Order: sequence, then structure tokens, then C-alpha cells
Amino acid sequence: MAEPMSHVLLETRQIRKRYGGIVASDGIDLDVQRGSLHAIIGPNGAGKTTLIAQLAGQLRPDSGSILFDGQPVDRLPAYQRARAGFARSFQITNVILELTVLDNLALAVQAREPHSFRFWTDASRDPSLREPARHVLDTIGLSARADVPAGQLSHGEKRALEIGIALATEPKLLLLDEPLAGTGPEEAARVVKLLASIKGQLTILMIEHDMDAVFALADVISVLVSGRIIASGLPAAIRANADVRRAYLGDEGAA
Amino acid sequence: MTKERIALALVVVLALLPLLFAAMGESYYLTVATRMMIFGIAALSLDLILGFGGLISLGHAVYLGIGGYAVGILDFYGINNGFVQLGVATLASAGAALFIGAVSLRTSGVFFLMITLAFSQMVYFLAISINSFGGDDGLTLNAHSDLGLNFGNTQVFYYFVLACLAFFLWLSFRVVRSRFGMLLRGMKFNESRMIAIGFPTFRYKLTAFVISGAICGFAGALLANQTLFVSPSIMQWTRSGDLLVMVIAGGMGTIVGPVIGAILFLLLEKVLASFTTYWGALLGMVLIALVLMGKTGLLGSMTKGGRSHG
Amino acid sequence: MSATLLLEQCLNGMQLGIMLFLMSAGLTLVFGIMNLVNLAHGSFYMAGAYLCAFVYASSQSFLLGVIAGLGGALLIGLIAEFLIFRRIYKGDHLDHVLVTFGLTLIFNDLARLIWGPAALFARVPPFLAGQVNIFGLISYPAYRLAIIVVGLAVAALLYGLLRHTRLGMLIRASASNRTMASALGVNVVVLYALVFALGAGLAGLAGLMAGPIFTVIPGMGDNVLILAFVVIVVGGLGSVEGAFCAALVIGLIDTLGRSFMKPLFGLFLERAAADNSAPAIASMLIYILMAVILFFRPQGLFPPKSR
Repeated sequence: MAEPMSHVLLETRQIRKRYGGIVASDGIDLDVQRGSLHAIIGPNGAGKTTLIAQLAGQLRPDSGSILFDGQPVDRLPAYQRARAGFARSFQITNVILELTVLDNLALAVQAREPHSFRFWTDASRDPSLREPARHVLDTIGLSARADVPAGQLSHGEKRALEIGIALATEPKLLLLDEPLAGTGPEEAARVVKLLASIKGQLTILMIEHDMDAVFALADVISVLVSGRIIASGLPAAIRANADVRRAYLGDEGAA
Repeated sequence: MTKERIALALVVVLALLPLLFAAMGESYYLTVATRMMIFGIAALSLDLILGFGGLISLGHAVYLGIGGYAVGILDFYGINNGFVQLGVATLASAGAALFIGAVSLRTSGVFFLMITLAFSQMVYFLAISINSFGGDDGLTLNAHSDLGLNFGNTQVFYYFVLACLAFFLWLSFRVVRSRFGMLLRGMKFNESRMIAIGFPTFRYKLTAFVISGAICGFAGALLANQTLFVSPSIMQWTRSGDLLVMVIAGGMGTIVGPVIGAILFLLLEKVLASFTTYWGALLGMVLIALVLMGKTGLLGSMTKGGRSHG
Repeated sequence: MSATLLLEQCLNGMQLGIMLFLMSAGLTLVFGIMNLVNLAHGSFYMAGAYLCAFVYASSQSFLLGVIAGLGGALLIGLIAEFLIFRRIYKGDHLDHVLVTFGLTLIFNDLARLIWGPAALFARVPPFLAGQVNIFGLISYPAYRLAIIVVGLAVAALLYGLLRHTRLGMLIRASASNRTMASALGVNVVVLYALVFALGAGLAGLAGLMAGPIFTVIPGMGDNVLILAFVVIVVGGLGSVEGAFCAALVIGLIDTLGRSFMKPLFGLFLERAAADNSAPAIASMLIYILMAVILFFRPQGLFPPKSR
């Protein structure tokens, strides 16, 4: 059934999740436009981690639905969402420390293949894996560090690799969980530059605390407070929004 | 010195050994060396899932038993065709691994360890309780597997086993470098990331587990051929423990390290046993010392690999 | 198959289950709290059996035997914890496997060195040597009944300890969240040593009670250990209630299976086939049960809560 491509790549409808007495997600409605960089901001404890876990497939929502490219994905296990074009990066760096940077990226490229039941050819010499991996390597600016074990990278380089691994799977949607986490000003600028360079080529949903980065990059901003989206729109509008100001100012200092 | 070169050197040395033994006039050593190579194959198979997959199996010796009993039971019924015997031994082990893996791989590391242990114990008790096939006393074979070679000749059998060992070494080196091998290593180091980039990890872990079980079953068939005897005791959990020690002492994740580990382990066993009947305690002390001092295994230190590098 | 036989086998099953529980309780606690896989746990069982049998035979006092068995197992547990286990808590499971495997080898050879490879005779104390009439229904060995009673009493005590004492609360807190517990100021070092000793003592108790029923030989703990692993896998790692339920179920199924498989098979198969296959299937029964339970609940009956 041929349908015109919808503008909305990722849509959540009334996602709810509770843990015992705590309501982590309280009816979250989200629309992520194709090709946009959509940022989610909010105070700590707003339920960002729970939301990401539900989007990525690690957690099942109690109710509500998640539609990716028009298809419901709530029942899909995490690895199948990745295969459907939904890649994520982790807030706490989760690269494969024991393998080289290039190997990390090559594995992500390999993940796109229908299967890996190939026992014969040497994967490290396989151009169909290495070439795309090198391309991503250049994009994230780590060409000089190709053969370094990922564990030996600096924190900023690791954050770049973190994004690179997700990128290498050629996703339709890139879900970034605090890509600037733990970075100093120089490293943060580097990551922002990277994101600016790939913006537009794919859809990005970014959770971030760093307001400078958010306002520099985002096309759309949604504000998550106490498990609910209280405002969603263009950056200028969000900046001026009274509810947002209240929520942030009111919650400042809370753990 | 790369692992492949070490493996090549090992095979060459092993190929020349019979000449040395003949010169010394000690054909008994051939039998000992054959046994060492067979356990080398078994240890190699364990390395595939332990050193590369990160799966700690404490029930790997069960495949030695399944392979051995496959040959023994076929022999019992007068089927001595080598291809059939070796084929059934390998397939039966693969099948057992498929079942055991399907149940145990869905669980976490420690569960996996205990479940593989439990299943090997189950097969051990099964073998003991079937009296028609010898039960506790074991099953004596009437004849060797018939592959057109004279396995009764210790030299012939030795070179056959060596050929098998060389084959499995080569096969393993290839597999480890392949896409499957990379995936296996990725899963060992960071399974959550592998899932996040889209790998259905369970089926690949299961595949590795089945391949590993099949190879070990083949080794079990060779063992049955060597002694013309198979006993439930080969499947005791202590034998699985021995296999683990061989892999770790030799160097996890190096393929050839565990083979050398097996050879040295059995050598040590023989040497210690000649001194005292309490060699188990000595081995135990060596093990504890190895761990408390931090173990990289022989090959780890030789190739500057260490434990987690492949 | 009579009702008395069925009742007797049920009681035997309970007795096996209780003993398995005593073995597994310590094992599961040690795993739940210290994340330690202890393959040498069977050695505490063996120590309890040997020390009790030996001291009882030498001194003619069952009480001394029990003290020797229990105390000996406790002491050995404490010493092993202090000298060795303490150093490997931080290591990975592979380290645990190697070290505890090594320890088992050492203990087994030690037993063989001291008492020889042949079985050591463990006497049933005279005051428990007779039969007891249960509700007028059946006549059952007093000793086995005593095992059930003692085991249930210990289970109740353990439950009381874990649920109603401060120490128990600390243990449970540490089991569900180690870092939090130590952040709250719990002396983790002492706590770990206590839990470990408790586990060893329970295993020793199981061993000394098992002596007269099973054979006291080097390596006697190994088979029971593996059964204990099945129990805690089915029950749920770290859960003492799970271990209790699983132990009883497994004890009952194993005992009833072994007794009644042959006559059961005899109903469907001819004699020779039943004779051959029944013992084989009976010995596999609990492992098949384990596989089935794990298929539906991979984390066991009482899964560990997330840390």
C-alpha cells in the first residue's frame, strides 16, 4: 500500500509508565518530524531516562503507543527497533572498550547485514564493512585514532565514538541520550560541531541538559516535566514560554 | 610471535615427535601424546565460547561423553563405519548443545554456569543408569571406527588425530576472524551495545555454543577410539573443571593457547601423580595461586595479549 | 503401591528436600549478597559429615559429634573466608570458579589423606535408632523424622533471623543493594564473613545429619552441591524462600520419581523396557523439571529484584 511519506517519523501517544507509587511517564505525546533535530529538555527526575528506555525498547510502556515511520513498535524488542532504523547512543559511554575504534564502527556496519552467519572471510579486510566504517570515522573526526583501542580514548573522543557507532548503522532516527554528558567546553563544542554537520541528513531526537547546545542545534524543543510534555515548539517560543520558565525555575536546586 | 605462527610451530613439533619417540624406543609416549592432542581439541572448542564468547560453561565435558557414547553405542550394535560413527557423534553433541544452550543461554552468566553444570550431571547420571551400555562400569568397544585407516596402529592414529587438531586450529582461526567471530567478541565484551546496534545476540550465542559442542563431541569420539572404552566418569563435573583450567592456563581467547594448556595440564597431572596420590590438592593450590596472582595464561604473556584480547 | 509406601516416600522426599534447603540457603545467600559462586560449598557439607562421624565414634558422645561437625564447618568457613574468599569478591565469576574448584580438590584430597578413600562409618545415635509411629498411619525411622524436624526448625529460625532481626534486615538490604548498604555504614567486611560462616554452618549441619544415611567419603559434597545449584537456579538466585520451595519440590520429585517410575512405566511398557528406562528417566527428572521451569521463568521462581 503506497502512502506518501509522513512528516512525522516518530510518534508517541499517551505513553504511561509507573513504578509502584511513582508515575515516571504520565501520558507523553511526542511528534518528531522527519529530518528535524528535536531536543527534549527538562529538570532531573522528569522521567527522561524512562522515556528513552521505552523508546529504545528496554522498557514496555504500561499503556500508550509508539509509532515509528507509521508502524507501531511497542511490541518490537530492542534489537529489532535498531534494525528498523532506530539507533541510540548512551548517556554513560557504552562503546566496546577492548576493540579498536574502527572495529567498533565496523561492527555497527555489520549489524545492518541480514545476518552474520559468515564464518569464512576475514572481517577486518572486508571492504564492504571497512569502507562505510572509515566514512563514519571521518565524519566523527577520529580518523587519526582508527586503530586505537576504544578504552584508550579521551572522554570527548569516546563521546564522539558513542555517536559514531549509532551513526554507522545508517539509522532513520538517531536517539541521543545526553551526548554532551561529562564533556568539558572544548569537547562539547566538538560534539556540537559534529551534530551540526550531520543535522538534516537524518532525524535526530536528542535529550540534553546543555542549553547552549540545545538552542544552537534544535529545530524543535519539547519540555518534559514530571513525566509530561508541558510545552513543545520552536526554540524561540520555548524560551519565552512562561510555564517553562516556572517549571525550570521552580525545580532548580531539586535533586 | 603471532598465534598462527605458534600454532604452526606446535603442529610441526607434534608431527616430528613420533620420530623422537621411535628413536627413544618409547611407543607408550605416543599414546600419551595422542590423548593430549585430543584434549587439546576439546580445550580449543571450549575457548571458542569462553575466550571469545565470554560464556563460562562448567559442563563442557558432557560432549566428550556424548561423542564417546555415540561411537560406543553404534559399535555395540555392530555399526563400525567411521563416517557414520564420527558423524553421529558430532551431530548428537551438536543436538545436545542446541538443547542445553536454548535453555541456559537465555539466562545470565552465573545461571548459565550452574545450568550447564546441572545438565552435564544429568547426562552423567543417565549414562550410569543405563545398564545395557555398561552403566557405572563403562562400555568397552569391540572395534575402532572404520575410516579405511588402521586405527589399531598407534602411529597411524596419532597422525590422524594430529591432522584433526591441525584442521580445527585452522578452522577456528578462520572463524574467529570472520564476521561471526567479530560478533562473538563484541558480545563477550559488551552485549548490551551489540543488541542496541541491532544484533539478535541469542541466536549467535547459541550457534557458537553448538559449534563448540560439536567439536568437543568429535574429540570424545576420538577418545573412545583411542582407549576402545567409554565411561560415564569422563562427564564428571571435575573433568569440565579441568577443561576450564586448560583453557585459562593456556590463555583464553587465543585458540592455540588452550591446546598448549591441555598438553601441559595433562603433563603436569602425570608428573604430580607420580610423586603423590594427592596431586589433586597440589593442582588446587596451583589454581588458587594462579588466580590470586592474576592470570594471563601462558600465551597471554607470550603474545602480550593478556586475558581479554583476541 | 500402597498408601503407606506413598506416605513413606513423601516423608523421604521431604527429608531430602530439607537437607537440600540447608545446603542451598547458604549458597544462595552468599551469591545474592557477595555475588560469589562457591563450588567449594560441598566441602563444608563434607566437613560436617566427617567431623561429626569421627568425633562421635571416638568419643561416643553424639553431642560432641554434632558440636564438632557444626563448629568445624563454621570454623573452616570462617578461615576460608578470611584467607581466600575475601580476596576474590571483587574478581569476576571465572576467578571464583577456578579458586573454589581448586579448594574442592584440596578439601577432597585432605579428607582422603586423613581418613582414607574408603567410606567412614557414621552411626545413628541410639536414641534416634528406632521407629516412630506417625498418627498411627505409618512407622517411620526416628532419625529421618528428626532430620525433618530439625531442618524445619532451622528454616523457621532462619526466617525469623532474616525477617525480624536487625542483622537479618542488614543481610536483606545488602542482598538487594550492596552499594547502598555499605554507604549506610554497614560493616560490609564483618557482614560478609558472618553470612559466609552462616552458609558454611548450614551446609555442615546438612552434612552431619546426612552422614548416617548417605556414605561419608571424599567428594560426597560434590553431587549434593550440584543438586543445590539446581535448587537455587529454580528458586531464584539470592532468594531463601525460593530455595525452600524449590528444595522441597525437588526433594519430593526426585524421591517419588525414583520409587514410582518403574511401576509407573510397568503400566505402559513391558517389564524389560521399564526396568531399563525407568531408572534412567528417574535420574533425569529433576533436570527436566529445571529445564521446564527455566523455559517459562528464566529467572527462577522468585527472581532477584533489580539492584
